[in-house]
Amino acid sequence: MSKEFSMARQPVYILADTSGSMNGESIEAMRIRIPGIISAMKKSSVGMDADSIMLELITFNKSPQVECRLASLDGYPDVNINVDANSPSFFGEALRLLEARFAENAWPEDYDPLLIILTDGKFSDTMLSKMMIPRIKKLGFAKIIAGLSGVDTDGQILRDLADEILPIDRLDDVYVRQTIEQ
Amino acid sequence: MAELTNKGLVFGSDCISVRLDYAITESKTVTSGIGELSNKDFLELDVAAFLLGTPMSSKPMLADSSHAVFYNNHLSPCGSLKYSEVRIPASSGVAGSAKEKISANLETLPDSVSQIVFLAAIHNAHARQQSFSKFEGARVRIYDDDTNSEIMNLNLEEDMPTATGVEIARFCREENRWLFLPMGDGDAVGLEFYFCKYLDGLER
Repeated sequence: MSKEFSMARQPVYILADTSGSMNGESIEAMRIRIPGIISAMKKSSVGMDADSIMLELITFNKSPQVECRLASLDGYPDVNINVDANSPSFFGEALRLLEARFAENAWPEDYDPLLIILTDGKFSDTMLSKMMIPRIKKLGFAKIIAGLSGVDTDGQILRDLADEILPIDRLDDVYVRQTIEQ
Repeated sequence: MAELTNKGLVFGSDCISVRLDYAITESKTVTSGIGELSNKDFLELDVAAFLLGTPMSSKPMLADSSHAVFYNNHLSPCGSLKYSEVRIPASSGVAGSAKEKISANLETLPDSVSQIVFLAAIHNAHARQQSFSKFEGARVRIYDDDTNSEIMNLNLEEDMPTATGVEIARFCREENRWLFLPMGDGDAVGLEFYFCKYLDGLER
């Protein structure tokens, strides 16, 4: 595919945790939130070129997976988010994939990308997650946001990585539009 | 000390360990009017480490059962893997605890060993009708003992509630270093399954 684009793109990456600990209310919250985030971003693109906001969705449990490669919000496919009920959360492996995808997708005219992490913060590959934090921060995301579901999360890895951590249901229309439009 | 490469975390001549912690809330036996019975509510987990080689076939296998370190075999033939256990039984309504640990000295492993795989499983899961969901707070961790840094941890109850056995992680020899591969592959199996898998090459 040709990498020539006629306008500056606003890439957005969503990392969605689909590990066993997300089973139940957490995954339901995420299933509601992701289409809500997409809808909010579409509304914020009114007045801009609708093709300029591009979204890549990566899910992760014991292995990360690109569910949908960087694509325009127009006609963004419906994505089925399913939990792997017997799977830990290898967040470090997800960050490694994100780093690689960031490099593959990068285009000089792009605005600094946005990263949204949807998770309960319970990560199993502790050492790799911690070692990936400075590498992700060096990539140059405009903002790294964590939408947290559930309770009793340790949270240190997310606190060191994210610019902002808030409950997942606070990633509403108003918040997303304000973030995109900043 | 771990180094992050394009393949993942790589370790040199470190000492690493797998550590299992869980609460014991019931005694192993109960007494009924007809004598002592094995208590189905007794929670018992086993941790194991298998030293695998890749002889003629390309599939990593146990050379023999002495290369499997667990509660019935505390020391590998080369002396590089050591098993230890501390158990405090429950009493008078106070929960006890069980801690199992297998230490591995990566530097002294013989050249014939190409992989170490760490495993955990419920003891007699099928007979006791248990899964990891019964083991509240049970955690298995992999540590770099040289730096006392946690490499990986699994919350067995939350991460794999319906499984009874798990391949936690493996270390694969890459020249004179060891590549760490987190696995977290849970299944409804026991230790005997993993023995079959890595001794006979038989899988379910």
